[in-house]
Amino acid sequence: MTRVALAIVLSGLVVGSSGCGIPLIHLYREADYTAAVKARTAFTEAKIGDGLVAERTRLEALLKSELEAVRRFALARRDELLIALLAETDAKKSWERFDVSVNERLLVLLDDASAGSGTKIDEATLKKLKDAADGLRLKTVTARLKEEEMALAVHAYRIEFARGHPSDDIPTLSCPSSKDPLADIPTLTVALKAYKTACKDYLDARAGMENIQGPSKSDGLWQGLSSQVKTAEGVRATVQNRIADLKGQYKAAKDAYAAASDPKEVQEKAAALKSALDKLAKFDTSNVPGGGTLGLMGRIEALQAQLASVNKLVDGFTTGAKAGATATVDQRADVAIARTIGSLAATTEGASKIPALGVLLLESRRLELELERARGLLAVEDTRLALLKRKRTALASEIDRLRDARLQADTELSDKSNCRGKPVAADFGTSSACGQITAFALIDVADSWSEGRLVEEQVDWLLLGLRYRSSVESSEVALRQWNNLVDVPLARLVAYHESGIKLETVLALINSAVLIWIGAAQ
Amino acid sequence: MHRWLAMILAVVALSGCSTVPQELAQKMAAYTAKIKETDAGYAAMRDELAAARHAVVDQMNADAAAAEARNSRFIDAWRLAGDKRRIDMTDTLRKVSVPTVLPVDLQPAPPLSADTAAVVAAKARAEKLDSAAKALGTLAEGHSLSDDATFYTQFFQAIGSAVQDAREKETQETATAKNEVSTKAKELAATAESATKTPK
Repeated sequence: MTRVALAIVLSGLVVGSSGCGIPLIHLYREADYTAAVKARTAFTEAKIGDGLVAERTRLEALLKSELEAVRRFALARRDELLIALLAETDAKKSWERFDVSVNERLLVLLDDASAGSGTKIDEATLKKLKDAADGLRLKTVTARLKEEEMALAVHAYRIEFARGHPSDDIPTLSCPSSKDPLADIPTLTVALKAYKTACKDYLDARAGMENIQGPSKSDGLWQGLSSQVKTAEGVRATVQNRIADLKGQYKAAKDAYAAASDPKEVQEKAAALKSALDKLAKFDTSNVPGGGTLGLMGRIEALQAQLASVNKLVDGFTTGAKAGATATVDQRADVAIARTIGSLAATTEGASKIPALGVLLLESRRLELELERARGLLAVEDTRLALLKRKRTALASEIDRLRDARLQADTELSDKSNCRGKPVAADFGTSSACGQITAFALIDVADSWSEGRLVEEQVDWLLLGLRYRSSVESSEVALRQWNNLVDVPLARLVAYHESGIKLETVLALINSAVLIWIGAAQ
Repeated sequence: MHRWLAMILAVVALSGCSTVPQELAQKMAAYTAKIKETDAGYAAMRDELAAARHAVVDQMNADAAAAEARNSRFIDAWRLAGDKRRIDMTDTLRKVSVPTVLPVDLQPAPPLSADTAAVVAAKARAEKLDSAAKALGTLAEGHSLSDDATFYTQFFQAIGSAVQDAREKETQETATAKNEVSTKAKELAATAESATKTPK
């Protein structure tokens, strides 16, 4: 009887821990252990994700040299124009050159982006170009003024709100606002009204800037870029609103799941919760033209929810949670959310059981990296929009400088006695009226390059660099993820092969068995 | 006694029936080899784009140098003619019209060494990955069992899909970037041509 019991114990110890589950006991093989260590060392030293860090350094250096070259070339062209204007000794040719350089560029900016040099511009067209430039100046100044008024109104609103509701957080005002903020006391109402009026005027001015009309085509660089920025902002607002709706649906599904009690209802609500989370994670921008990667906003929300639940379950292990145990009421929603993750849904444990700690830790790291990648890609979109807006500001600046140059050359000069009867350089640098007006006109032309065209061209290269950098960064995070996740099982393999039973241990086991057998026989 | 020893040895021999390590090693050998292969492919693609961008920078600098030379000829001619006024006017305009500086945070990395570092890093990485794949392959050929692989299969699929997405994006963006660089090169050629034709 004793021998049978011993046999069962020994067999159970080895069989139960070897074959067809996770093996705890197995024979040690030196060659396997060495191979596993070699594999892990080589993989670790490959530092997959780190390779792209060097690539990013190269991109930064390339971008820097591109921006320097753009600057050098733009300033050389600016100086070329100024020198040509100053070099011309024939009065008529000198002012013609001035007019052509300003008018042709205004045409490209405000009416026809593809207009080439030498395009004839008649008086009527020129007048409309001037009107468009005047209109843009007026709307730009108004928008700037109204922005300042809004800032003052926000300041007043914050003071009045803090006075009326000392213990509450001050709600943020936004223009345009999606909902009316609290205005329950007269002073607050006044501040809010001032803000709303300034906001409306600001939006009108912005719309006016975007709707500047050219003489015929209205297809200049300005209109093209304004429409691009307007569309990008509109798409962003649409996506944000849809994500907010889906987020609301997800929260409701989560609350309903937590409140469910009978098994059938729990099952139904779990399915609804999964569906709500899936909608966020797989938010599709295909029906939002220009939506592109903005759909990542939904993915980010879903990843954040999954990560929070996984991390809460991990924390639970510090207070006595057990892998494989049925989730408590408090843990139920987190388990259900964690089980929406593919790898955790696929394991053979029951849907309401707490997953193993090791698996949760792996998923936690994976989700963190996935979030980092999604946020990085979204940040690229933000930068892209910011760059487009910066280019729009540069375009407005260029148009404004050319408008001023045009104004000096037309009105001021024609009013003065015979300023245009002498070459541009004739009076430049003198204190005469013509000399001062010419100086302003030439400085405006120079500034149209320094403040406008140079910046526009640099932004074009920054946008190009951004496009490529975003893809390299995306690959970098993905590879770092792969690196982490191959390294974990590799470490397990090393530990597995290291933990095998060595021959001397087996012999000692046999000797012990013999001794027991002898003892039992006596 | 003999029955006992036979039973224990048989059981110990059975302990080798787990295939978990082999399956894992097999999967990782395959994934590691795939990473190595795609990594090398993308490194080549990135080198190609970097070369195209360098070429455009060279072209831009050459065009700028040509324009600067034309400008210098005027300044030199005025200097020889004793026309100090025109030289001063040009200098004044250059000084007064200050170029706007974009708020770009660029690290002052030396371009040449950065290029070299990227190429060397890519080669070293490929060698290490090759070595890891071979070692894992050896392990995968061995003995046998378990079911932990279900998790890793799903897990690797998720990671694989993320890497695939990133790589597809990189391919697409690199192709677009190359097109844009080529367009820029054409624009530059047109600008330079028009500048040389401009009457003085």
